[in-house]
Amino acid sequence: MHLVDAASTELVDATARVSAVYPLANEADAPLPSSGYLVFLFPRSAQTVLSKLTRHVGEGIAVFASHGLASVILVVTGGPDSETDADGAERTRIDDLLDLVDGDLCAAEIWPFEGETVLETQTTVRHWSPASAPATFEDVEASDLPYEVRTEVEQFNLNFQYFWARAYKYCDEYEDLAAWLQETVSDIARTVAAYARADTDPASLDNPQQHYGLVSLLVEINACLTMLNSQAVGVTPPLTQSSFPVGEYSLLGIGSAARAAWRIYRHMSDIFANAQHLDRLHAMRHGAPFDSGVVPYRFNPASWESSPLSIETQPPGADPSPPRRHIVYFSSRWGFHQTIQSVSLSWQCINGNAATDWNLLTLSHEFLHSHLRELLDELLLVQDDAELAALVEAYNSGEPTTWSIAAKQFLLQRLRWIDHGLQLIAARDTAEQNGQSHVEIVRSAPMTAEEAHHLLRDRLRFLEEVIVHVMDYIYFYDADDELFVSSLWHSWALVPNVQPKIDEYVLRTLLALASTWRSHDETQAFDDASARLDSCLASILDAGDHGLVGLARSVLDEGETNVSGSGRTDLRTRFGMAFPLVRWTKQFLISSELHAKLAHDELRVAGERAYPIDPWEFPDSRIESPTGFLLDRFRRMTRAYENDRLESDSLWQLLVLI
Amino acid sequence: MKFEPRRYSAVLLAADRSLTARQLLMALDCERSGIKPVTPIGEWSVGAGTVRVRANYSRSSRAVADDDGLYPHRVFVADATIDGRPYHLVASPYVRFLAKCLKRLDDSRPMPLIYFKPSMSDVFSHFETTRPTRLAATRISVLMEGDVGLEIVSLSGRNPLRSDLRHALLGVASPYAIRVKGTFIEKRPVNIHADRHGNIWCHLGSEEALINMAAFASVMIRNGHLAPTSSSPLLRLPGEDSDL
Repeated sequence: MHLVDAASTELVDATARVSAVYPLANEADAPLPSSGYLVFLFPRSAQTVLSKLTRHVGEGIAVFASHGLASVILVVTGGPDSETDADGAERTRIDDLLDLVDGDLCAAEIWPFEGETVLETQTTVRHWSPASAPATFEDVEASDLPYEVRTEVEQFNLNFQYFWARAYKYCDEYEDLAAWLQETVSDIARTVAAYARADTDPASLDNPQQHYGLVSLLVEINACLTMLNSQAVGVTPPLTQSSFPVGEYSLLGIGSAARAAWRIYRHMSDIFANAQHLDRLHAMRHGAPFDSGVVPYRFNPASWESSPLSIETQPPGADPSPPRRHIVYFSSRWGFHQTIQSVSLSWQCINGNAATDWNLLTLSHEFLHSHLRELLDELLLVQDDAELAALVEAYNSGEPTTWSIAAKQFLLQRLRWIDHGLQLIAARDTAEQNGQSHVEIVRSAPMTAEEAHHLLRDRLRFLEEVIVHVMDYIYFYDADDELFVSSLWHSWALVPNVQPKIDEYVLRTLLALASTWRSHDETQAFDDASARLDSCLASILDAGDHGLVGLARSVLDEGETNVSGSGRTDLRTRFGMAFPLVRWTKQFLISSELHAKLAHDELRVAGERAYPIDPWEFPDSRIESPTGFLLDRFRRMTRAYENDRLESDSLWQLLVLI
Repeated sequence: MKFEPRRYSAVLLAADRSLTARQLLMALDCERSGIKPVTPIGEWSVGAGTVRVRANYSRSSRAVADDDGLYPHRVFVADATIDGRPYHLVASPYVRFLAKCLKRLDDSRPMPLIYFKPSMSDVFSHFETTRPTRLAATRISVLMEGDVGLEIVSLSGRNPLRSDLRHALLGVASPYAIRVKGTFIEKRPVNIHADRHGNIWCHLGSEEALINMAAFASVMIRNGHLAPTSSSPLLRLPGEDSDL
């Protein structure tokens, strides 16, 4: 095996495997020595190992970092320089180096080399025992399940074995994901076993749609787990016998990047799980209603403040449910995306997360969708016609008798107004084309099952987006207008579908900003939010050309001047229809205690620089709030094309978190 | 030189055989011949030296620059062995100067300097539950983590730690800094400030008043409120922009 020291990661020939590595100190940029050792370290915590090794750069030792599970690479110049210790054992400089980080390592792989040749017969791998005995998992029983389920479960068992056999050795923080996966698939298998056997024809089932729904969950778990197997644990020692199937990382893989993504996700997931919002919401359902309800078709947000119940005030239960996990992986196809079983991050984040365009904090938005879906399921989930009828009955029942019925009425009414606004705008467009000046939409007072079905199917997404934006703005961006707007609009600039619906994206941003407006006057709230948004968009444009942001600003200006209320971009009208939803979210779903727990970090400093560390500095203690850290980093980021150390800074941001 | 009343900033360091008080004072650029012991304070022995720097932020009008435009000022290193472990309390009027010298010292050593930073939750708890003696908490600062638009909130009074307002903030704020009134000498009380990163500071009216800072350090050590760190407390300072 030959080593090639090249300035770029382009393949030197078709059989070569490459990975970029980044020096801890600039002087380590020197070429490979004529002979020495490459020592690949697989740390439990990259931040701890790099913090300890920083002061040992130099004196014939260069320290590099990579995206792989082997995130730390030492280049040791010269021979072993062995000496005999007090017990008569032979020790080398490499032993001394390993002793420095003993206890912080999972494994180390040592390659002696001379010239450009690795002395393959002399390569060695050392393993350190895990800190605690690994959890053991049994295969999920599949033998008596129908074919389409059995094959998926059997595939899962093999995927899972591959995953856990490596994860417990090199990244045992995945243990709770492993437990969650095992439990989820076991539950599905048990559910299917209750109504079908190996010879059951799916067509003969009472509810084949539900059956195939379960199969699709298994298919998705397998698809995402294979992705995780490749990204997180695909490259383990011996490095010579494993590879990653993406050219630019084919030598060392991206295991540490995957671990960092998991750390960020897990921080959010743990804090939200401990806050038990779903349990609290469930416990509130029979409490006093927060409003007198849909008659006469208007809620009164001013009265909500006297409501004793909210997510914040409802005491948590004694026994919190374990966190509901997702498989987290990088995807160039999906970008930032979430499904029932998974959350993906843009592939470009691996190399570019230190730029505004590929901000890792965007993960919070995807995470919040899954959190909110659970909350909305508690209030609005409809699985059959009977449940739909019950929901409609709750809406039409007049003055609500419980908190839950008031919430159902409020949310359905908001969906109705959102739908009404969109229909009104569409009707205006048609009327304008036909030369008419008056538009009227009449809606029957009682809601029908058909209307409720339409609202839940076609309008719920917008309602979700509004609530998620409010939560994201407050929980993860500390209600910092500039950071929030910059993050949103830089990430949206890369999404092709944004431009055709840009007015909707402007509206979402406005509604999020309006969540800090204290009064219930929606006209003033709109004026305040639009002025703040305009200022933020202007700042982005001041920093350089940005087509989408320029377009957003013109949409905002048009909406602002177009007070009379005609035209497709009548933001005021649509803002007014959705603003009570913002008030409701702020009053009942936002928790300042949860916000505090997300942000809490003893390393955090009061002042402009919340984390007083710069790229390639490693604190000697763990960053407790990855989301707080990323927000601080975002404050200091620049556009991708303005940062000539983008890849290096991006790697540091990943490694300092794990 | 004569002592000038000034604000002094300090950090607490672990002592070892390769880090004596004299070496620390020399690392702070004190002239070797000017390093002298001063009157011990309680369990702390104190060494002092004089350094000359370009700036002078003292409110005193007595400060005079030498021919090179440098102003002299006193630095102190207090030593104590408490519960079998040796400590240095290093104090200088110029915090940037202190940061620069300690960074230089750290870079020159094979092993990092070990600083100590308080668990501010423990310190709050200590002063909340113990009777005020010659050290009493008179101001606390909390970092607001669950309230948008606010960062630091400070509460002051006879005992802010027992206030209803402080307890109302427990779920959304974390302990950040404390001001303790020290009355160890019979002159004006000294307000000692400390934050959770390990920075300690106070206005010293006299060399003897250093006892208040040292006594506060002793309380934190004895009660196990400190954690070692190789990250300098002085990291919190913005980038070096001074020629000190």
